[in-house]
Amino acid sequence: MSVWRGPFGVTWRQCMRASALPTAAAALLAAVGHAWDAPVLAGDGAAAAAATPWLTLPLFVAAVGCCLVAARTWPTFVRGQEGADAVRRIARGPLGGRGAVAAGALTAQLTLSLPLALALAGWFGAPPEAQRHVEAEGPATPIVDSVGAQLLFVVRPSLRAQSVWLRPRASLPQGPDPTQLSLTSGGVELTDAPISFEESRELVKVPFAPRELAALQVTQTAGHVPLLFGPGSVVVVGAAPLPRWGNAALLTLYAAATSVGTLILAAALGLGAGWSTVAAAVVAAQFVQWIGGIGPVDEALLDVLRGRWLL
Amino acid sequence: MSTLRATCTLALSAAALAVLPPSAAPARELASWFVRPARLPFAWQALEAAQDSGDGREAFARGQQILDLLPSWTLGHAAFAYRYVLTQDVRDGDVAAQAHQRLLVALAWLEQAREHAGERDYELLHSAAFLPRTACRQFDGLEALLPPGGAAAMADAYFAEAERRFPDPAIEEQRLFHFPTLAAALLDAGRQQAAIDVLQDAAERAGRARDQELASEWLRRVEEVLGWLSGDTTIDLSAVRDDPRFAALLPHLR
Repeated sequence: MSVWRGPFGVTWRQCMRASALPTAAAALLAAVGHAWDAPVLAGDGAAAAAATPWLTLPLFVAAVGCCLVAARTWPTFVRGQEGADAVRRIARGPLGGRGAVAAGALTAQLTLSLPLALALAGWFGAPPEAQRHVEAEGPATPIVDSVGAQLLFVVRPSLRAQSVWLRPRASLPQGPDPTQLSLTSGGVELTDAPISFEESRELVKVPFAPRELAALQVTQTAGHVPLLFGPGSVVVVGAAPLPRWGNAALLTLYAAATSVGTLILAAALGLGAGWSTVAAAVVAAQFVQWIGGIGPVDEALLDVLRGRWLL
Repeated sequence: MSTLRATCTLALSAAALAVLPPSAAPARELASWFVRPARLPFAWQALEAAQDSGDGREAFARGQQILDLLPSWTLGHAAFAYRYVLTQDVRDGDVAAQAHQRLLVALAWLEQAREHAGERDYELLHSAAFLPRTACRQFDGLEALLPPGGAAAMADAYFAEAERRFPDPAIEEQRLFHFPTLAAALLDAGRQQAAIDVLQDAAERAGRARDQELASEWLRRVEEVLGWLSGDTTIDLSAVRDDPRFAALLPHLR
C-alpha cells in the first residue's frame, strides 16, 4: 500500500477537502477585519503586533479543522466508528494507523497554514526583516539606587547587536529628578543619547552602531528613582536581518505543534470515548493553546508580527 | 387566507423599511453586544502583553481595539491618548517632531471619540485641552511646532467648544482663568494685539464669575496687565508678579 493511498494520504486529502474552504473563508474575514479594524498611528509603519487576533483566526481554523477531520476520518481513532474492526485487521501496528493519520493531518495543516502565514504576515505589516532578541542575564540583586551604582548583564549567547531595550521597574522616587543611566560594553559607551527613567515599566530603546555584545554594564549617572532590572527588563536586539518569510514558516511549525498535543490527547481519549467527546476535547485543547495563551503559539504569533526571530 | 397574511406581512415590512431605513450604526451596536464579552478579556490580556514586552505604538493600537468595543468610555480614551503622546521609546532623532505627530493623532482620535461621548463630551474636550501643554512640558521644541499661540491657543479652542456645548459657570470659569496663559502664548508668538483682545475679553467676562470677591481681585490684575501692555509702563505690577496665575505673562512685563 503506497503512502498516498494509506491512512496518511487519505487523511491529508480529506483534511484538505474539508478544511480548505473554512480556512480560506477565515483568511478572507481576517484580511477584511484587519483593514476595517486598523489602528490610527503616527508616522510610518503599522503596529502589526496588534493584528494577532486576525492572524490567529485562519491558522486556528486550519488547526482545529485538520484535527477534527483526522479524528473523524480514521475508523479506529475514536470508539464506535463504522469499519473499525476491518481497519484493525489491516493496520496491525501498535498505533493502529493513528500515527500515519496524525502525520497526514499535520502535513495538511502545514500545507494550509504556510501560504497563509507568509501572506498575512506581510499584509498585516510585520517588519520585512526579523531580528534576534536575547534577554540579558542580570546579577542576583539587580537594583540601582544611587549615583555610581553599576549592574553587569551577561548576553548569552553573545551576538552582534544594534540596540538594547530597557524596561526596569521603578520604585518610589527619593528626590525630584528622573534617574539617568549610561550603557557601556567593554568600556565603550554605547550611546550619547540620554537614557532616563521616571516611571515603572517605561520602555527606552537604545540604538547604537552594530557591535559584538557579550556583556553590558548599566551605571546610574544621576537622579533619584531606584530602578529594579528583573528578568526580561534588558533585551539585546541583534543586528543581523533575518527574513520575515523564515519567521512565518517557523510559525507554522509552532502551529502544527499545537495539533501534535491535541491529536495525542484525542487518540488517547478515543480509546474509550465516542466522537462527540473527542471532538469537544479537540476544540477545547486547541482553544486553550491559541486563544487562552497556554503554550508557545500565542507568543510566537506576537513575535512574528513584532519582527522578533523565533529561534 | 395565508396568501393575504403573507401579502400583509410583506407590505408592512416594506413600509417599516421605508419609514425607518436600516442604518449601519444600530447593527454595529447590536453586533458589539455579542462581540464585547467574547473579545474584551483577550483584548485586555493583549494590552497587558503590549505594556509588558511591546512598545508604545503597540499599546496604543491595543488600546484602540479595546475602546472600539467601549466607544463611550471617555476617560479610557483620555488615558490611552495621554499615554501614547507622552511615551517616547526611542530618545534619539527628532524627538519633538515625533511627539508632534503623536499629539496630532491622539487629538484626532479624541475628536473622533466625541461622536459616542454624549453628555461626557466635556471630559474629552478637557482632556484634549490639557494634552498639548502637558506634551510641551515633556518634549523640548514641541511648542515651536504648534500653530501660533501654541498649546495655550489649542487649549482655548477646546475650552471654547466645551463652553459652547455645556453652558455651565464652572466650565466658563475654567476658560476665564486660562486667558492669561493664552495671552502669554500669543505674546510669545509676537501677536500683541491678539493678546490684548484676549485679556479684554477676560475682563468683560470676569463679572460673570460666581465668586465675585475672587473675580474682582483677578480683574484688577488683568486691568493692570492690560494697562502695561497698552503702553503705560508706570503701572505698579508687584501684585501681578506675586500672583502665580499670571506667571506665564511675567517675561512680557519687563
